[in-house]
Amino acid sequence: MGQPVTRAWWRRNAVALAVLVVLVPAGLFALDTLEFGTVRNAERPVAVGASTSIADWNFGPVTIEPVDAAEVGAPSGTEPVVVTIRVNRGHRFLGCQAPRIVEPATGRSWMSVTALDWAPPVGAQTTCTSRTGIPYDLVALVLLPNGVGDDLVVELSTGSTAAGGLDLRFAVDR
Amino acid sequence: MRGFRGWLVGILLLVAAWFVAAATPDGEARMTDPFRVTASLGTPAVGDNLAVTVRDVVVSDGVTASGGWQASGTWVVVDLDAWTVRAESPGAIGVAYLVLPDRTIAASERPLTLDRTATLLDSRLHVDIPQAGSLAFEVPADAMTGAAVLQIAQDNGAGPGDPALSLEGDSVIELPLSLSDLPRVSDRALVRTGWVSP
Repeated sequence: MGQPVTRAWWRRNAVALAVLVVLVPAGLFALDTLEFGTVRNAERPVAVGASTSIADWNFGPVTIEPVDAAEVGAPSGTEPVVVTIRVNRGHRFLGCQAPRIVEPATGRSWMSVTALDWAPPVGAQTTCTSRTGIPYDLVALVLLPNGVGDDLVVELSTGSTAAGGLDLRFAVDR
Repeated sequence: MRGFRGWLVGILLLVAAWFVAAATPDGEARMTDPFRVTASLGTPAVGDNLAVTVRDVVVSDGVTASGGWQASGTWVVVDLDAWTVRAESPGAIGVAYLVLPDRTIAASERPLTLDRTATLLDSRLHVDIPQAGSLAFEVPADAMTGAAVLQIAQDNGAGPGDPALSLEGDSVIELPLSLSDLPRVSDRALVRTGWVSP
């Protein structure tokens, strides 16, 4: 194919090689420092009413149920809802963040709200921490403005990609 | 492509790059400028992910806040509604500045001493669900003349210390003010952060 790599070749390309010696480590350092390598988890869509597994964990099905706005002290013009995700914990450690509701049509998203007068139902949890093998409901109170559509996605981020985590995207038709 | 032709192409590319750089306004110095959204009193101003309606701006010779905190001095108090547009993380007014002719003053964190909801600074905001509250700026008594600009933005992680850093790369909502035309009161109670009443 090309010319053989001889001593003369090394001499001819000495400057370019010296530049590479500097730039390659500098590039790797920049990647690490500037967090270019920080990417979102891979996503896994889950159909309405379905569940899914990560290792020996099982997530789903997911429901979104309205709660009484006056009861929790929600402002007028809003719709408080409770997101419930059935979780069966596995043996491997797998963290998760509180679920959030995404409206695919607009890209808007809402997280759990703590400023309202609400407590999780008995037996339900707001984190993924639990004893192995005992199914439970992962719940979050989310405050939506009026006018949010019915086709929603509940997103649950389960740990980092490096740790085998995924962003689960449960379709919900409420 | 070797020898003379390679050098020629290289030099031509450098010259072309120089023309591109020269045609770019202020070169790279403006690449991270914030996107400015001009607001007016009582009208919603919508930035990238932060939106506000400034309700009132007054100069006060003292302020009181929820939790019992109070202070004398010269204060510019801004009452406003705030909400986010797309996402709730990040979802807060992270920085607010009053840009005076000769200095820039960051929104005071002092009223938050006894109650974290005493002002809207750093309060969790919600998508399309407004919350009412206040921002307070402690200013020198002799600085209340001329034009000023109120700047409100999310926190990009740089903190409020240097506006050139904390506003870069994001939208900033700006309300032009005439300081000498602002109404003056002897004392002002800050609006505790809460849901907007219909």
